[in-house]
Amino acid sequence: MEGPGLNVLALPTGALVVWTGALLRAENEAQLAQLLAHELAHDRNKDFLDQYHRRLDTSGVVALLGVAASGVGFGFVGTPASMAALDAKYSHTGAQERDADKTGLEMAAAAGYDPSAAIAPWRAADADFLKVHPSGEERLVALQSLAQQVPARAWIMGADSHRAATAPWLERWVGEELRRDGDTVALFTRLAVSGRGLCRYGLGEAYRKRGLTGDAALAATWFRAALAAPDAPPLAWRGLGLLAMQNGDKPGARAAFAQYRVMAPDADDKAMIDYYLAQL
Amino acid sequence: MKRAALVLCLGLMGCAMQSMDAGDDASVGNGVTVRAEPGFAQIHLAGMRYWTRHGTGLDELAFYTGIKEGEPLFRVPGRRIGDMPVYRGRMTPNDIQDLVVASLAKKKMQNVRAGALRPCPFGSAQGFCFDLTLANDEGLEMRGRVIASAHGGVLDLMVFTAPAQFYFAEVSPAVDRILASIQVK
Repeated sequence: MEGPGLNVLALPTGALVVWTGALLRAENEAQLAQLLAHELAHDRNKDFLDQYHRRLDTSGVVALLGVAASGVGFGFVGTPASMAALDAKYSHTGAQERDADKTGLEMAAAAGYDPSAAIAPWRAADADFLKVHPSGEERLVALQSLAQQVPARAWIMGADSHRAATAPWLERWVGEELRRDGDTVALFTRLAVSGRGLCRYGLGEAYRKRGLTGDAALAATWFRAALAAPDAPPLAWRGLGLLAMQNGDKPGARAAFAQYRVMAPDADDKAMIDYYLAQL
Repeated sequence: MKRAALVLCLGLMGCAMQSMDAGDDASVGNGVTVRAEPGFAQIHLAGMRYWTRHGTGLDELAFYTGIKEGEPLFRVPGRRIGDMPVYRGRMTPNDIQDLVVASLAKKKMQNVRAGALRPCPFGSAQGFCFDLTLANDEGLEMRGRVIASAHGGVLDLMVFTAPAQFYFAEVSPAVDRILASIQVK
């Protein structure tokens, strides 16, 4: 399901709903596999149906039935808001989460994915996700302990394959996150470590949009870091241009926008950029 | 009949509807006026002003004018005002486009995408506009058009949305004429 934020949801129909924000946040295949395996474990343990039985007397059943019906056999399972609301309404108990952690980790490990990768997604989780998937240091320690109990072997991490598979979508997903309301600096600080040009651009744009004291300099630093990456995104030039324009640096804005137009001649906002250039 | 049903429905919802005479200039706030088109009704709902031909939820031209630093574009019933993204005077048109997308998402609109950001006249002032694709909370695919102007740290914004099937194309020509009639005092 296309949408920002980290979320994955197993439905009683067997459908597994993965937000694109989860694909963006996973650093490699192993982390994604561990996240998916955790949700599959909820499905295997029939946790969702358990929630359903315990809430038979609530109005939420109607919504559950609607989503369950629409999810049978098809990719479509509902709108992101309805799915998120359902996920929040039918949050699992602590015991169910602990069981899913253990079962999921073992399932992903059986498929060859590094058990230690089970921890990173929870460290990177958003506040919204943690409302329904409570984390905390205790859980991370438990996961670490479980991971250490799995006999060592040659594990799959799949960093390069994950990077290659997500590359065509990265600009779209980064844009989705940047359009979210709120401070995205923390998210992109973590993602920028990957060295991917678009993630560095995302951090620059997160600083530019936040606009606190000192953020302009940090934004410029990260836009330039994005342009130094092997996959330098043209958007970093636009970011530099917008930043310079906001700061009254007309020559800087002109130069950056001109570069953006050269590197992205068919940019969706080219008419607006040309207008900026004409006014500067 | 359709209008009578709309009046009854809106009356039950506790909001006010005014019919408009086509060709009349109507104030939509912050010194902005637009010319009414045949068949539109004006609705005041939760402190906001909409024009609609077939009913809000179908075609809807929303006027959000006089938005100042730190204010949201609009209020969403049931949502705390602090949960809404807010306008900042330093925002560029690119940023305001993102702000509209984020604000509509808070209104339970889904898969909101904006594109074709371009300069547009806003009455005698310089403005900008862009197009929207989105879906309502029930998954109905919709299209939209936004026109805005920001001067002196104050934002005026008009957002037209309608179902992609039939209604958008049916109402768009009239909306285009309304937007072309903008005057700013």
